[in-house]
Amino acid sequence: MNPNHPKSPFIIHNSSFNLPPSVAPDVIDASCRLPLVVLFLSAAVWLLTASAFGLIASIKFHAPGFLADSAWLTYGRVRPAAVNAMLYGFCLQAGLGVALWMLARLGRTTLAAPWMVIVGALCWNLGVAAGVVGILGGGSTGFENLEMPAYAAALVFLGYLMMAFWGVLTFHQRRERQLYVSQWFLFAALFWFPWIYSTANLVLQGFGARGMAQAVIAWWYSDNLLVVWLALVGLAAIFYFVPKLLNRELHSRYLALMAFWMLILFASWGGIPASAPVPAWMPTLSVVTTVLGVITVIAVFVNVFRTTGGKCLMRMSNPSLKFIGAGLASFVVVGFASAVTALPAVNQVTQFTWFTIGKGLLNFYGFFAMVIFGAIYYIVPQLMGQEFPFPKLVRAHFFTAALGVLLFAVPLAVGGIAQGLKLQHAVIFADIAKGTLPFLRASTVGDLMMALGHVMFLVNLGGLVFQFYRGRALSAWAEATAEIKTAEARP
Amino acid sequence: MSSQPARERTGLAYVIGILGSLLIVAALVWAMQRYTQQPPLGQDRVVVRKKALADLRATEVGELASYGWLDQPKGVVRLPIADAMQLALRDWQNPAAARSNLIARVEKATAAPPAAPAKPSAFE
Amino acid sequence: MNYGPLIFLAAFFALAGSWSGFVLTPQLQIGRLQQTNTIGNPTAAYPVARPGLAQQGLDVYRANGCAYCHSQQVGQTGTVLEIALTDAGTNHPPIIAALLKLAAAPADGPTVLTALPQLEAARTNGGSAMLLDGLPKAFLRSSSREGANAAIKALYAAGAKAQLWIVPVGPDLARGWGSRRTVAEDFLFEAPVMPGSQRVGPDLANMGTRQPNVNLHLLHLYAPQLQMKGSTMPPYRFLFERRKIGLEPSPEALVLPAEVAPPAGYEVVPKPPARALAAYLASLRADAPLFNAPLTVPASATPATSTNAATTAASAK
Repeated sequence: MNPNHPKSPFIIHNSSFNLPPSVAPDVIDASCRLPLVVLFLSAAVWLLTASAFGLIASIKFHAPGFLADSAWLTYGRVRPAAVNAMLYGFCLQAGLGVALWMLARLGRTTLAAPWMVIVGALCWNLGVAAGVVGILGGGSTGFENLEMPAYAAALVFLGYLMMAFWGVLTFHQRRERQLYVSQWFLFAALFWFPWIYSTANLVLQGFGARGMAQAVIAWWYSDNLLVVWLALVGLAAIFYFVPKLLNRELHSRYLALMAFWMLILFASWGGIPASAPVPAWMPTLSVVTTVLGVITVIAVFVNVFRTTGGKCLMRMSNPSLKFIGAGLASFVVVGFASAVTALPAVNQVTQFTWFTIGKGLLNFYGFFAMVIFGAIYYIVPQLMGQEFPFPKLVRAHFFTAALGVLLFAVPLAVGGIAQGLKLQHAVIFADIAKGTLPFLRASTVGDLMMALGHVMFLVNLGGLVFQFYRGRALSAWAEATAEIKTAEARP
Repeated sequence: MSSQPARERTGLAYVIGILGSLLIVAALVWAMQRYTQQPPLGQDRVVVRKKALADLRATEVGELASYGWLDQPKGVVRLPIADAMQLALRDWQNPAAARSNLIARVEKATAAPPAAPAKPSAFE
Repeated sequence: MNYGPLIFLAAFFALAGSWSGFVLTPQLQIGRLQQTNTIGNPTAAYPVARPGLAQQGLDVYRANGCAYCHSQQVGQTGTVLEIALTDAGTNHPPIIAALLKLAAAPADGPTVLTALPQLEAARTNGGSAMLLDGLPKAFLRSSSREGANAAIKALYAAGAKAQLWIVPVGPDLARGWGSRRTVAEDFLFEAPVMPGSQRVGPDLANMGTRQPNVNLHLLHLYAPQLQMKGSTMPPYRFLFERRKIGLEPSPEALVLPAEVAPPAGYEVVPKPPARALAAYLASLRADAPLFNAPLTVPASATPATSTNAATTAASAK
């Protein structure tokens, strides 16, 4: 417990006149501007792509024949394409953008070699595009969350290395040596992804493994990406933005560090389903560590709750805080749901059902994407020195996103539990499948709401970027034309 | 003067250090594959089957090029094809003589059919 | 203070821990699994690699993401012991009496599967021939080895020969999705392995035993709603070719009912990927009795050495 940490960066940030920062925030922002614009804009485009694919997949439950005559748009290809576009196109990309910015701001140094980050981002996007097209073309690897074929994975990995390299260098060149908790999370996240991604791809697509060993490694990868990496970056953003935007101290640095340790030590062991046909010690270990994950969730929640002084973040006027509050709420729900459904008796019901899918999507859209939206809505105006062109759309985006996530996750969860309970009895399967349809169809509404929100997000982001560069171009043009006039006037 | 190469070396050290730490687990995977990867299932069967095939072929080639008894009591032998062709050529100089014992030779080489039942069936 | 290296080491050792747990150890443990024997047939290796066409079908299964809707893992909640009569001899009344006596045993004893009135009727009017028809047939279910052995002894004393059957149970098995739980050995030859995480559609672990007919698989792929009304499975028409009938109809053309049949003069012929996928589906079976997932396969039960076979099968558990 150290509420009055003398060197907390926030005291200095928020009252920069006390101690002049090593590099002024606007200089840092200027160095980050172009790479972050590239990362955030392409992330927003991927988000919308993912929504489009997700909608196609969802509509197939209303009419199985919808777009079924095209091999490229069959359900089994569109769904992984949507997940991959969401995960690699949006989550990782936007997460990296936010991470790089936080690393530069917290280290009070400019982003090292922004141009290389842009090259890395382009390589990453090329890789994701190749991967999504590859999946639609039938080149999926068959491992969930790792469907991108080897050529695309190589590009993605190369792009990541380029971006992470400069991220690590930025961290190393920081002028503020004292570390804030977010930096722990971010620094670990920078390494975590290449470690798990290289392992999974080398083993599953390169050397090969025998039988169920492949499945175990794929589950391990999914867990480390979806639970550990997303939480590392998302929590870093929560711990950074909540105190910063509230202009308060983080309640406890040590509680946050405990969350960090619990996350990397225990959450990395989750992911093996309790019923998996593998040696029993593996699922058992996963169950134990997943249940222990509750401690992380409680630590995070208590920390933020105390930081806000018990106020609800979603009721704040600052839209970024609203988003982050919704993200935190989803994080808590997902954490508890994971712990409860990890228990073998409960898992017996929820395994193989839509509940698992709903929980996974709540993690994507409810937790990570919400936090990242909040961060982006704060960061981008800082980078550009301008406000969003449509501030009302930000609020509208929050309501559609929150409502969309609710309408999406709740039917899937309820339908999943109903489906799981029926699966416990020797009911004819066709009846069980039919019983889930109303829930699936209801979740399409949530899908639509979220897609609408994503359009608003893209419009606002694109509008601001367009406005900024148009302003720049206009002033450059004015400068150029003005110069000619003076030159003419002189002789 | 001396600071320039030193800075270059520091830069190189950064590159190696950071890339190395990003790729360290890939190296672990390589080591794991190198030391623990089992041969694919059925690899041992491949060796066994290849050896069996080679043995079979060797026997066949040996038999094609050598002489031996097939059925000593009946006087049936095997001999290299070239020799057999020469024998046939020699025999068939006189086609009538060669034709004369064809049936006898076939009967000698083939197994005798079972004897007909002593009493014919009532249904025939 | 510079914590950078400390964070790096923390992350590295945390990841190295789970890496050695869930990457290295599976590689050492599952990666060294070999083909195994099946119970009762020590010479048969299980599993065996798929034949060529079915192996190509695995690729079609992967490319079209069938695993997003179909799992290939069956669960079981436990195992029960069933006592089957293999030989009732000619003197039936004592056997019926023994069965009735066992039925009246205390609660922890074996339960009788055949309805009691049927047994009573068999005793009173001697209609035992029908009851004891079609042997081997399971008559008693027991939860304990001791109870089962006692029951076998009682039946043996009454002049019948009985066997102990190991029967896995659970909702998945009751639905007919398999005869035992799926184990790691079933996936030895799979690459990529796709156990599936969703049951939008039925489990496919034993599709080949449930539906060995390749033509019906093709028909189901072409028009899923034909065999299962209201099914949400999308049709896979892109795996088929609709073409004009040439000089004579192709022998491979699907025999389609009127509602999905092509117009006159046309036929629907499966393309090679469809045939491969159907061959793959028909090749799916994970029902061999293994030492770590035992079950008794009644067909292979030998009536003569009842008690011996029973003990072998049971000791495997």
